Amino acid sequence: MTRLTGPALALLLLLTVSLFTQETSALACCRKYSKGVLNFSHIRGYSIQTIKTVCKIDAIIFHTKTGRNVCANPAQTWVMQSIQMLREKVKTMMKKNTKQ
Amino acid sequence: MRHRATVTQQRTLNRSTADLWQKRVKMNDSYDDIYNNLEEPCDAQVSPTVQHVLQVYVYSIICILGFIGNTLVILTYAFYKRTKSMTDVYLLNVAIADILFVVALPLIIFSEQNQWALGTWSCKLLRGIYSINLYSGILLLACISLDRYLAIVQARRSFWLRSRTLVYSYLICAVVWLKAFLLSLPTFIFYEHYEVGELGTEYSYYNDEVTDNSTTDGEEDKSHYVCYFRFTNNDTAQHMKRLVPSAQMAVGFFLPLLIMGFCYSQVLFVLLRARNFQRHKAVRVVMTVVLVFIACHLPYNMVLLYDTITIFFQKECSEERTIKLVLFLTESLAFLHCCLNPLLYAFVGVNFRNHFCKIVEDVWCLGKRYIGARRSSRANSDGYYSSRRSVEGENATSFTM
Repeated sequence: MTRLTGPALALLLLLTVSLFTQETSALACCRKYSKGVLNFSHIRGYSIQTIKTVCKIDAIIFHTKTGRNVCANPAQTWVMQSIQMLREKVKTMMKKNTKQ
Repeated sequence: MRHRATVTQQRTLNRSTADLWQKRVKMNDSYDDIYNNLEEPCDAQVSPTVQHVLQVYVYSIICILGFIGNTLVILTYAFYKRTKSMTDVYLLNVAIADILFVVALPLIIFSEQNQWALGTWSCKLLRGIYSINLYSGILLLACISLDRYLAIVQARRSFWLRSRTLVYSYLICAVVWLKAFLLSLPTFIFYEHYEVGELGTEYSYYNDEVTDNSTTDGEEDKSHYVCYFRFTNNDTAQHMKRLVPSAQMAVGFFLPLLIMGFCYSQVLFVLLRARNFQRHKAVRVVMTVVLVFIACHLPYNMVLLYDTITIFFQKECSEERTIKLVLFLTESLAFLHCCLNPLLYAFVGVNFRNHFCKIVEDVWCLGKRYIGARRSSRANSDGYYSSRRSVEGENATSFTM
């Protein structure tokens, strides 16, 4: 019996150590698409969410100027149009920069 | 960040109360839509307090009890009881699987809380070991039920088979471990250690910059490391995210349940017909084994089934949260099974108990040997005879109680 207390105690120790190193980390995924349409003037940028890693649906996340994240369906036309417009903006900006 | 958000909220509220009529007309205005038709990313993780309580109190009890119980089983087999029958070989293998599982579990929790600091290999290895032992443990329990079925129901027909038992049982165990390994291959291959942002996204494009998530600025970036599936293309992701849990349910629950259900119901049938003063105990043991298996694994697998079917569906955040929480809770119920196995299978047998008593005797003894002697003689005289001995003669160890 006595030789078992060693490993058991080590295990107990390990678990109590984990007690103190508790860390909270947020991880959010889009789980549903917005039904509404986001006005382009409010969009600051976007992110791409895919099912390749932790999330369960493909989605575009628009970042609004007010600091909100909005889930959008990549299959919808307004979503793709907004992304196109953002890209155009970036392109023109890059051209300007290279000219200077 | 938060402050800014609340200010906006306030402003939006004021605005919407003032221009209520405008709201209906201007559907495209995002300030209104934020409260109506826009969805935001959902953080469905189980609340830290629940995780904390379960991991610290429940898991530690499961791990410690499982560790002690299964170590005792292995020690008994290693030093005092040479494996003689098929069931002995299975029981030893179950104990090995359970002990590896019980060691892997706290290491996984520990790594999770330390951002998987040991990198991809610890992630693959721990997750892989965990998965292998989950499968092999349950499959071996199905083998045990098959063995008992052969011993009791097919007693005569299986006599020639059981005379060559040891070779067969080693072979079967090897097949079980191999099968468990093959089923865990996706885990070994696709589990990786990588960084995710607060949103589980890959790239972010802002008006004036294109950023990789690993290099975003500190303001929004509370990225951390996870050990989870990572696929290179969408199709594999779509298949694997359904296939892996499906295989887990099919091979890790429904198949063993089917085998156990069939074998033990036949065994019960024979036992109930047998006129024997020990049969009640045998019946009780069989019922307990089956009911405990169902009680531990059915809830988790039902929730997992629902989650797997609806995995790519759109869901409300609250629903996703509930599913995650219920999965987490039922999973720990399933974990409980591995510390019950030594009691349900090994210590329930009289032969095994006698050998175990010898351990207790030898460890505690020298001065107090007579206590152990009295105890083991009591165990024998109390009428703990093997039910199989009474059902079909000698060759007992496979189903003793």
